[in-house]
Amino acid sequence: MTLTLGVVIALVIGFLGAGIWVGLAMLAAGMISLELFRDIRMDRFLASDIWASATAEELVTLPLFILMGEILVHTRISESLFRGLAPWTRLIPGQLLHVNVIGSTIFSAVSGSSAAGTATVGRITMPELLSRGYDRNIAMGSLAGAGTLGFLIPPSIPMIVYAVLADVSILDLFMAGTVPGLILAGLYMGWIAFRALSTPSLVPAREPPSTWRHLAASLLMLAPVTSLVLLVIGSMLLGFASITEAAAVGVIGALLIGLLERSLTPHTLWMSLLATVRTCAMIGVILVGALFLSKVVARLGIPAEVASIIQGWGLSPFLLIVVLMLFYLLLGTILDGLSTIVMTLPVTLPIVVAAGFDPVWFGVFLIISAELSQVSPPVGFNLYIIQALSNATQWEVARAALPFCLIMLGLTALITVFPEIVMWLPYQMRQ
Amino acid sequence: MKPVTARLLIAIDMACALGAAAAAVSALALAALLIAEVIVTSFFAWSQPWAVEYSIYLQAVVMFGGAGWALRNGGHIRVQMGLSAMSPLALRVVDASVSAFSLGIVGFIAWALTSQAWRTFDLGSVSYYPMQTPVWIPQAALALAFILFALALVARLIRLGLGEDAEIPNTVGGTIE
Amino acid sequence: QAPTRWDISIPWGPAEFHTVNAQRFATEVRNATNGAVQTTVHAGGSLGVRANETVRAVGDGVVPMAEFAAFQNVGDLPILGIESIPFLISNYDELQIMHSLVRPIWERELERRNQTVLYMCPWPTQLFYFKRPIATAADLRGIRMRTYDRVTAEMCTRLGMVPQQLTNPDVVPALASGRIDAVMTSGTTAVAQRYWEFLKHAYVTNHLWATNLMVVNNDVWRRLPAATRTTIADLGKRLEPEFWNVSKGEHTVRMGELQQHGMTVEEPSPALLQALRQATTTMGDDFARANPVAAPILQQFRSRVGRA
Ligand code: NA
Ligand code: NA
Repeated sequence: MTLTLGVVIALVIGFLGAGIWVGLAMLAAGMISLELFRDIRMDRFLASDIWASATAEELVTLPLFILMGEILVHTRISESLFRGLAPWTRLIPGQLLHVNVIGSTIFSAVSGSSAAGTATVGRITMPELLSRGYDRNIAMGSLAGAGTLGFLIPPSIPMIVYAVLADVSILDLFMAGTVPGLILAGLYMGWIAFRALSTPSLVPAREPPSTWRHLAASLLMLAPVTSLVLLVIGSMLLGFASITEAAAVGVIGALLIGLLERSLTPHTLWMSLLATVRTCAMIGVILVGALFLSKVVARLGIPAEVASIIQGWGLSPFLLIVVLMLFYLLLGTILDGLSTIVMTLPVTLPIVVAAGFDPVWFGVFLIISAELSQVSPPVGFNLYIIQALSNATQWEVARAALPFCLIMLGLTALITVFPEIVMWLPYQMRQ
Repeated sequence: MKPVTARLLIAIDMACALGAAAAAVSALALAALLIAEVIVTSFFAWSQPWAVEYSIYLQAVVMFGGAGWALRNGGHIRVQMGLSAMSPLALRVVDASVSAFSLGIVGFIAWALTSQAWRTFDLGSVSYYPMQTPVWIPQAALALAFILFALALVARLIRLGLGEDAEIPNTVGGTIE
Repeated sequence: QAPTRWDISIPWGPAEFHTVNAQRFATEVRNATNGAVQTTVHAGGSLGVRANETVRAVGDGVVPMAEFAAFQNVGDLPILGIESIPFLISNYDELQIMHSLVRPIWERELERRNQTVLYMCPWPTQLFYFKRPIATAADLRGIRMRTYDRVTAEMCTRLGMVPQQLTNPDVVPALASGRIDAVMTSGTTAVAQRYWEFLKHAYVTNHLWATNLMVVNNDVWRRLPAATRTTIADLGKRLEPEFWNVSKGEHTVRMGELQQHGMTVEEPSPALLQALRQATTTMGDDFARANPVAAPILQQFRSRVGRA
C-alpha cells in the first residue's frame, strides 16, 4: 500500500516537474500506475472514465458560470463593479482586496462548485486588482481561500453527495455549513486587514475621499452586477430555475445587461465565447486527469487501507479527528475534493460516528478538508485556475494560498472544540 | 519549409480552430437550452425531454472541443521551473520531448475514445434518457476533440523541429497575459 | 497461489441495503473460497462506473464485478425494461413469476455482453410522493413530477402530470424551492433523501418494479477454476432468497420511518388506481411492439397471474 501510494505521488510530481501539461501528467501517472499494479483493461477503464467525467451532470454549471464571467469582463461591466466598490472600501484596511472574499461569498450562494467560483470571481477581480497596484500574492491567496467557499456555503455539490452517502438531511447540512462559511469569510477579511495594516505597501495609496455625488454615482455602477446576483439567486429560491439552470440565468442576465449598457456587440460576444472555450479547455483536461487519478487511487485500494489502519489505532475522539485531518490533508494533495469524500466515507464515517461525532458535523469537517484539497499542491484544482489567471507558477500560488489554508485548518480546530458552531443553525431551524 | 508541411500545419490549425468554434457555439447553445427549460417549466407546464441529456453533451463539447486550439495559443497549464536558465536550443529539445511524451498520452486517449465510440456504434447502445439518443454520436464528438488535441501536438512537434514558434500570443483573453 | 482480487462497483451509498447485501456476498465468497477470491465493494459509484452504463462497463472489463438496476440499462439491453412496464406486476410473488419467465433471456443476453449473473434482488415497492393529498386522477393534473427515463416520463404525461427532467444533484434543492412538486421512488430512497422534509403524502402506487443484478465479467470469471466458479454461483443461489427477504422487510421498515417523520403513507384509492392503470394500459403493448421477444413473456405472465 505505502509502495503504491509512493509510486503514484512520485509519478505525479515527476511528470509535473518535467513540464508535462498538468492534466496529461495526472492521466499519465494514473495510466502507468494501473499498468504497474493492476491487471485490467486500462484502455477501456480510461475511455469509460473520461466519457463519464466529460458528461458528468454535476459539471454543467462550470462552463456557464465561466461564460457569465467572460461576458461581464468583455462588456466592461466588471470594471464598473470595481469603480463602484472603490469609494466604499477605501476606509477598510486592505480596501479592494476584500472584493475577492465578498465576491466569492456571494457567488457561493449561487454556485455549488468551487472551481466555478474561483474562475468566475477571479476572472473579474484579478485583472482589476493587479492593474490597481494591489500585491499579487495576497490577491492570489485570498482568491484561493475564498474561492473554496462555494463548497461550504449552500448550494454545494459535495454536500449533496455527502448527505446522500451518509444518510443525513441535505437541509441540515446546508444550514450547518452556513455559519462556519461566514466565519471563514470573516477570518479571511480579518487576515487581509491585518496584513494591510502591518505591511502598507501591499495596498495602493488610498483614493481621495469621495463626495456624496461620487458615492451616489458609485451606487449606480454597482446596480448591474447587484441585479444580476439577485436575478440568479431569486430564480433559484423562487423555484423558477434549478441550481444548474440558475447558471444559464446568469449568462442570459449578463447578456441583457450588456445589451442595455450597449457594450455587447457580436464581436464582444464572440470574444467572450472564445475566452470561455480557452478557459474550459484548460480546466477540462485537468479535470479529467484529476478524476481519473482519483479512480486509480481507489482501485489501488489506498484510501480504504489507510483508513482501516487508522481505525486499528483505537484513538481518543480528539486525536482521531487530528489524525483524520492529517489523513485528508495527505489524500487531498493528489485527489480532488469530491473524490476524497466518496472514496473514504464508507470507512471513516462509521469510525467517526462510533467516536461520538454527529454525521452532520463530520460532513462539514469533510467539506472543509475537500476545500483544502482544492488548494493544496501538487494537485490543487483551484491553484491551476489561479495560476492561469495570474500568470504565476503553481508554487507561487500555493505559497500565496498557505496563510489562507492555515486559517481553514484553524477553522477545523475551532469547530472541533466548539461543535455548536456547526450544529447551532440546523438545531434552531428544527425548533 | 516545404509547401506540403506548410499546408499540413495550416490544415491542423484550421481543424483545431473549427473545434474551438464548435465549442463556442455549444456554450451559447447550452445557455439557450437551459433558459428555454426555465421558461417552459415555469410558464408553459412542459419540460424539454432532451434538456438534461443534451446539456451534458454540449458541456462535453464546450470543455474539450477547443483543447487543440488552446494548445496553440498557450491555454493549457504546466509547471515550468528552471527553464529560464537554459539555452534556447536546450529549451527547444526539452519542449520537444515533453510534447512527444504528451502526444503519446493524448494519442492513446484519442485511440481509446475512438474504439469506445466504435464499439458503442457496433453494439447499438442508446442513452437511458427519454430521447434514447444513439450514444456513439456524443462519444464520437468527444473522441474527435482528443484527435484534434493530438493533431495540435503533432503540429507543435513539427514547429519545434523547424525552429518556429510553438505558440502564438493569446488574443481572446480568458487569462491575463 | 496469489488470491484473485476483484473490485465491485456499486452506484448506491454504503448504507443502502443492496450495498450491505453485496458486502455480505463479498465476505461469504471469501470464506467459501478460503480466500482464493477476494472482492472489494466500492459504494457510491466511487469507481466512476455509471449506474446506467454498467452492463457496458462490465462487458468491456472496465470493472470485473458490478451491480446495476435492470431498468437503468435498457439503453444497452432493452429487454431489461420488461419489469418496469407501469402497473404490470403487483407484488413480490408476481415479480418472481415474471423473473421465472424472463431470467433465462436476461442471462442469455448478458452472456452475449460478456457477463454472468451471480444474483438478483429487487428494490422494494415503489411510491408516488406529493406535497398535497391526491384523491382522484384529476388531482394529478399539472403536478410537476421528477422523472428519469422514457418510461417514467411517458407515464407521467399519460397521467396528466408534467414530467420534469432534472440532474441528480438538482432534485432535493428543486423540491425545496418548489421547482418540482413530486417524485417517485422506493421507500428506501425516500428515507435516504429524507423526502419528508418537502413532501407530506406518500401513495403505495406500486407503479413499476426494479431489480438489481450482480454480474461478473466473463473474462475474469472463466479464469477461475471450475470448482471455484461453482462455489460462487451456488453461493449466489443460496443467498438470493435471503436478499429478497431483506428487500421485503425494507419496505415495512421504511414506511414506518416515513410515518414517524410525519408523512402519511396510504394505498391509492381504488378509483385512482383504476384511473392510473387505465391511462397506462397500452404501455405494455408498446413495449412488446418495440421488443418482439417480450410479447410471449407478457402473454404467459398475464395468464399465470390471471389478468390475461
Ligand atoms: Na455554494
Ligand atoms: Na490538492
